[in-house]
Amino acid sequence: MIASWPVFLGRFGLWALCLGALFALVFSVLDLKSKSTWSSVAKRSFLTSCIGSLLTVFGLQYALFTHDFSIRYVATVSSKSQPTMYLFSAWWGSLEGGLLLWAFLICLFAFLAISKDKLRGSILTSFLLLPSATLCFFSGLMLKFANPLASFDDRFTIPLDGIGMNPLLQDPGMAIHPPLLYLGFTGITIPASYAITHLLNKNEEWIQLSRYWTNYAWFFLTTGILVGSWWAYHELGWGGWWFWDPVENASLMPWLLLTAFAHSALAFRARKLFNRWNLFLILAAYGMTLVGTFITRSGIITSVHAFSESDLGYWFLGYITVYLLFAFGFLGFNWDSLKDNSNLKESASKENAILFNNLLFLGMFVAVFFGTTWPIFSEISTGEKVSVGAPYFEKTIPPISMPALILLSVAPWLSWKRKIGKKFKNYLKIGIIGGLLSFLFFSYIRSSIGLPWFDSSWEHFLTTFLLGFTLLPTCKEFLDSKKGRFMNSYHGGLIVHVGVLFLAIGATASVEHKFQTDAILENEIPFVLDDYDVELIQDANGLQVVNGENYSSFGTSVKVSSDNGTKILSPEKRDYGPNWSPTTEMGLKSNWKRDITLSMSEIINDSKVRYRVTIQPFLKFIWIGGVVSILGFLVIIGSERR
Amino acid sequence: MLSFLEKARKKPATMNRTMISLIMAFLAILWLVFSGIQDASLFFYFPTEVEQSIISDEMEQDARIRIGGFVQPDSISIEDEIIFFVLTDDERGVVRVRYEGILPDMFAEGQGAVAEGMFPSEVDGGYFFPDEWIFYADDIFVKHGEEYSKEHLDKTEMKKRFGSGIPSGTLE
Repeated sequence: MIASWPVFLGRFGLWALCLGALFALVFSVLDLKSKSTWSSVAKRSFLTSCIGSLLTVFGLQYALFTHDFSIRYVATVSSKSQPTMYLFSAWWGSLEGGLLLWAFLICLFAFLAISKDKLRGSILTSFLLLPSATLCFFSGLMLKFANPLASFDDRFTIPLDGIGMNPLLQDPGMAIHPPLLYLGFTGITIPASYAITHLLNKNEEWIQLSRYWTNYAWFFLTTGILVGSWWAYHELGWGGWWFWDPVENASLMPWLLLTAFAHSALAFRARKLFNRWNLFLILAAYGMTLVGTFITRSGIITSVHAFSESDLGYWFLGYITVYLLFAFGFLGFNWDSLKDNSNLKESASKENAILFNNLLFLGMFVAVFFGTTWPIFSEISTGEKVSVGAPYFEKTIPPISMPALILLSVAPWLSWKRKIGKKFKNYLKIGIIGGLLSFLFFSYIRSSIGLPWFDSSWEHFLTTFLLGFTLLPTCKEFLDSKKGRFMNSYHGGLIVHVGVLFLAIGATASVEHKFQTDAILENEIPFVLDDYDVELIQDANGLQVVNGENYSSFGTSVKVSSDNGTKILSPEKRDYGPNWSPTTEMGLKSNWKRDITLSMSEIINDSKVRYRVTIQPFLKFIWIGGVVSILGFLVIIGSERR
Repeated sequence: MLSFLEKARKKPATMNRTMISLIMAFLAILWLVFSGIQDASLFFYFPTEVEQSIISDEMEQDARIRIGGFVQPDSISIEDEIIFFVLTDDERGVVRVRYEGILPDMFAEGQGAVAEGMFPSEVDGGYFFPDEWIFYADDIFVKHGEEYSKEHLDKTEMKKRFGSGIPSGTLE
């Protein structure tokens, strides 16, 4: 079987990607070691690698769009009936394509960084080390284990149609979620590479250079995590939005370190503090993107034995070890020569607040890291397999995250170096008034939706207080700021902080006050939840069967009446044929006070259906907070554009 | 080599209260994490291991555990809103599971699932018959994330369609 020319070109591109990266790595090392300069050769090799990645992507997309099922990957992630949009997103539908996307984005980011920051000479070659080593590794993995453009063996007939993508993943949210996460992960490569330029070449500008890219990485990673959570809530139909699943934690771990870095980099910019600590954080954050991928891709979480069955896991582990040895080896050997302003006075200054911020983020990272990897350590050390679930995280995260939230609401008013100033005291007074007001406001709202106003978790009480406590001084800050200085990155940061508090209110309320019950509804017989002032009525038609594009839907219409009017919900079960398990489309009645969701759990007969009803107060605050944070971050990105 | 370590030993850092409180806080967090892990981690078994520990009389009753495996095809039955199914694994161990409640979407025969619950010593006032060793689950999970993709399709289903020409790295 002769492959079509784009597929052939793609295969060629994959080799170009691998060899180009290898040459870029070799010549970068040569350049750093020898006196003669090899930097332009290294740069050209790297560009070859970039072009190679483009060709591979082109080959794969061509195969996907022309339904070339002689390619194994195409046959497993796409089918003829798949909508066009999901043919494109089938690119990252599985391991092989995921590796290709990762490699492609590293090329893209590194190319942009090299051309934008005009890197030359030994800075360029020390910068290229990390991207080209990572590209070598990923393209090597693709060539050896997971080639996205490999054909079926000759022994097998080419299938007439592919298996296609899991219907659950055929959703705009899920199509965009993986590339956003990958953008965040690969974005971290750039600040980490700048850290290496500082370690090897004393590039004193490294923090200034990496901040720009850190902003983008943080933006993409945060958006990716939020979109994933939004998708889980709206599409999985379980009424949950965060499950503390290893896959989710894998994206949270680099995020926590990156957030810590984004803050401590501020202290470096203002006062040249924490240089070594900054280097450590960003190198560790990059390491965690590898560890996260290793955890989710090698199957090691299921069992150490599952891991040892595939070689991929060993390669990943090997690469992580090499990376950690080199990165932290460079850091250790250069420790003394790294300039660090250690003049840290004992006072309530901004730099000390950032120090505690870093401690708390590191603490959350440790909690998530050990919670996620404990099953591995336990199985290796004692042979006993254990499982760590959501209760662990719900118990350990609040005691660390709540102090972080308190810090978040006071730290912006502190000044560098100096002790507490007049502004701080003034804002504290305004803040307390605002805090009490918002506390009373949320208590009143809770009582209006059937919850006791005086009874909630301390976390929820605290977050409702902190919102007003931060919001009022923030408003004053915005009003007082002079026109020309309006909307700089400091203001962007304040907006992000307010967003985080919105999110925290939603998160704490939905954990504490989540109400879930089973309801069996018969046609036109009302089901009343007295305490919550909610009434459900299934309409007279009962169960309706409708055929969709590639599924048949079993749906009902249920009228939900509550304090703010009625809405007809249409929960469904969708059957996608024998290859896939059916999916649940939940009905959602949502306003800012609470979300009422209705998911079909069992069809008893044509007129009698069992539902799972979930009521969660303030759940919308999670998405509102997320959007506010992202907008705040766009302000930061906009104001720090150079 | 590693001069930074030697230096730290020679010259004891003058610790101010900021550093001391940082270290104390970090130790508190470590304590929180490790005590939390001890309390919250559940033992996890594959069906074969459950069978073995029942045979060797090591399986504790009334202890919360998790059992993970594949749902055996044709094993799901529903009696009076109580769901029964069989979890199995590659080594053909089997555990009967009893579950009352709503099953997650991705739960299906041939798919991976994890059941959390216990082998009770007493059921509704009556004695539990140890001979039967039915696992009373109160929570069922399916694998999240990447496993939603075809990687989680039953291996046999894949083999039936494609023979062993399955892309490497997608099933194991």
